[in-house]
Amino acid sequence: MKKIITLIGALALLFTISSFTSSPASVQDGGDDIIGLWEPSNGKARVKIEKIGSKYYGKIVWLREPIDPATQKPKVDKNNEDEKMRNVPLRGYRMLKDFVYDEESKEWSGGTIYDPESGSLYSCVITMKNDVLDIRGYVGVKALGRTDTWKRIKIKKKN
Amino acid sequence: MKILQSSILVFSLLSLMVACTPEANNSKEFTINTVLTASGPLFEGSNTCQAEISSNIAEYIKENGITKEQIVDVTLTSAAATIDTSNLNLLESINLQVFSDNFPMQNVAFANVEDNSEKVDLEVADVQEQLKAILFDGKSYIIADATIKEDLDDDLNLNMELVFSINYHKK
Amino acid sequence: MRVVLKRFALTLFVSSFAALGFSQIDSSFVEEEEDYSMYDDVEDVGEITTYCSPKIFDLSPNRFLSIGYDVTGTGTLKTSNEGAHKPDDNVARNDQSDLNYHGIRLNANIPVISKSKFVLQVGGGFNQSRITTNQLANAGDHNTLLDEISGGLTSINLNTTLFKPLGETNFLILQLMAEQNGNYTFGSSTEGPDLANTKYSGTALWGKRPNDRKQWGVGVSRTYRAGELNYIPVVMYNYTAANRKWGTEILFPARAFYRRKIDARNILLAGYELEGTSYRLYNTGFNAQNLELRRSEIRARVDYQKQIKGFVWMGVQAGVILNYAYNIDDLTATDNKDFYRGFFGDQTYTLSNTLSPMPYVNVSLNLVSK
Repeated sequence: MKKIITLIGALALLFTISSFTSSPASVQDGGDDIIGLWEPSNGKARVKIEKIGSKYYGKIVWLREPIDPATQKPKVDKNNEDEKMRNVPLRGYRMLKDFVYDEESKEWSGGTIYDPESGSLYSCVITMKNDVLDIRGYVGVKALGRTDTWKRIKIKKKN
Repeated sequence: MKILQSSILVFSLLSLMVACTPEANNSKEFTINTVLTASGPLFEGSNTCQAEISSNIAEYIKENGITKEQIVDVTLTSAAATIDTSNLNLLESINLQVFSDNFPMQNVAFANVEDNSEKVDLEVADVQEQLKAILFDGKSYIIADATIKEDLDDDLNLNMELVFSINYHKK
Repeated sequence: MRVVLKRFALTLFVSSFAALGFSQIDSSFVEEEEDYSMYDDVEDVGEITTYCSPKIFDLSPNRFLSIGYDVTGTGTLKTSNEGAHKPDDNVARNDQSDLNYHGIRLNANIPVISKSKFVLQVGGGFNQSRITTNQLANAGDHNTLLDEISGGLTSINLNTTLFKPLGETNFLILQLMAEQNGNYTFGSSTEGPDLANTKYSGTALWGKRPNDRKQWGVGVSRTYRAGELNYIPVVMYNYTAANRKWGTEILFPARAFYRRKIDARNILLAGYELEGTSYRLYNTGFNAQNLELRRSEIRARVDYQKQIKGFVWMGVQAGVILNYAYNIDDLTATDNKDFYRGFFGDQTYTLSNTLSPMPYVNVSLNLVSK
């Protein structure tokens, strides 16, 4: 009986350790470094990158000019290819989608970046160095693209 | 003359390709009912209500004698949300998206919510890609970005009814 | 002891399942409090410098790759005798014949480096002007010049464009191009092209981009657009109206267009483009042997650009070609080096010719970036 109890204890300990180490939710891999608040080089938007499931997504949380001068209403995704999706508000819009972190190359790839100004969806790869992201949007192959730099920002603490 | 001959050849080949493309001539409705939740308290603006779904579409087609290979595509035909709140003027808009671990996120439906609406019928996107792949993937997710007009102390629950059309061809 | 062990095992057992249970809940599914006003006031963690973009809103798409076909209607070529004709002379042009052009146009423009602080594009082009004429070869009454170019005119170029932002609003653009143009066609036995006859042109421009809807600039250009070597000032003015429905795309004098945005995927341009270069004439029957055809045309056109799918766009141009220059120079006196005549020089032409206006259509398929 003592052996059984010890065995159960050992198994349970093993289970506990393994469930903490192997669970994707509890693992803090390098991929999660991208989570946070970022600002593109033109300073026109602020994007919050978060993880949903196993992939990373970036949502517009702030716009320097939130009102469309043509309509005097909050900006919407008026250039969307799909006519029925043209009323989706830009604030809250996910412009970075479906990035997966590759531990070897240290880059977030396989995702897309959406340019609401033109309604264009580019393939995209992201690398990070010193709280700066190199975000390369491209057409088909990486050579046909453009890299923008985004800086990490944080919300000011209120006194 | 050569141009005419080439044009006829190209046209014939295109016609043949179109004719050989499997066309869905049957469809079945498949419904997913789920509750998408954003945990409160919530602030005014866009909030994400989400749910992980394990759609039993595989079982459903098996019951109906359809194989996955027969399915040409799956499209969302209607999406309706009922809001679990006493404040019917709370919601401003709902943007519905689906994705899975292996397939990219798609915007599939959107609605600007009118005041005093208990039930919201979302407008379904014309462009829908890879829904079949997403629903058959291991883990699928449904997300509704719900823009609310004012702060909310409680959770926001959207009861969603999503009706998909499984379009397939006969064996 | 047994009880303690039992409890310990039980605790671990329960906690292990608790851990398992928690591991099933993806942390991302717990929505955190999101007050959008909190994003108003932020401070930098990372450091970057802001540079102005090379584009403004709604410009017609930048073409990475383009394949097009160009067809013209008929124009009448009138040529003088071989001699020395001053630019202002009233020249007799008795040799005349009809011709039209058709030919493929391939262009590539690849961004080798494309970052916020520096953009370097390298490109190449292949433009062919095949010629169809109503005159019979070796017949008694025919145009001598047309004999020499009836095999077609070919232009190959390599070019590079550098965009260097100087801070948030100012920028520099440097463009360089090397061309091989002539009456050669690939696969034929005629002579050419010869590297010694490469034409070099370039533009340097300084500009300002005060906002997302306007960029302007001034610069100088060494160009063959008027057919012969010239040095001219250039003015850039790209503008998009506040309602985002129309704008201009101007690099004067090379081109000037009014742009009308039908929607994000359909654009209409109306205006003109000055196209031209100098073609080496190899193996001619003329007495002089270092001959250059100075060809320049103003293409006044309406240009409809439409997205087909994704980044694949088509373009359809229709308009009229006003043939600005079609003269022949002999470079023998300048030791086969090109020379500058400009608008006021009085160096003589070996042949002084005219080509009447002709309608034209161009269709193209393009891989673009917006």
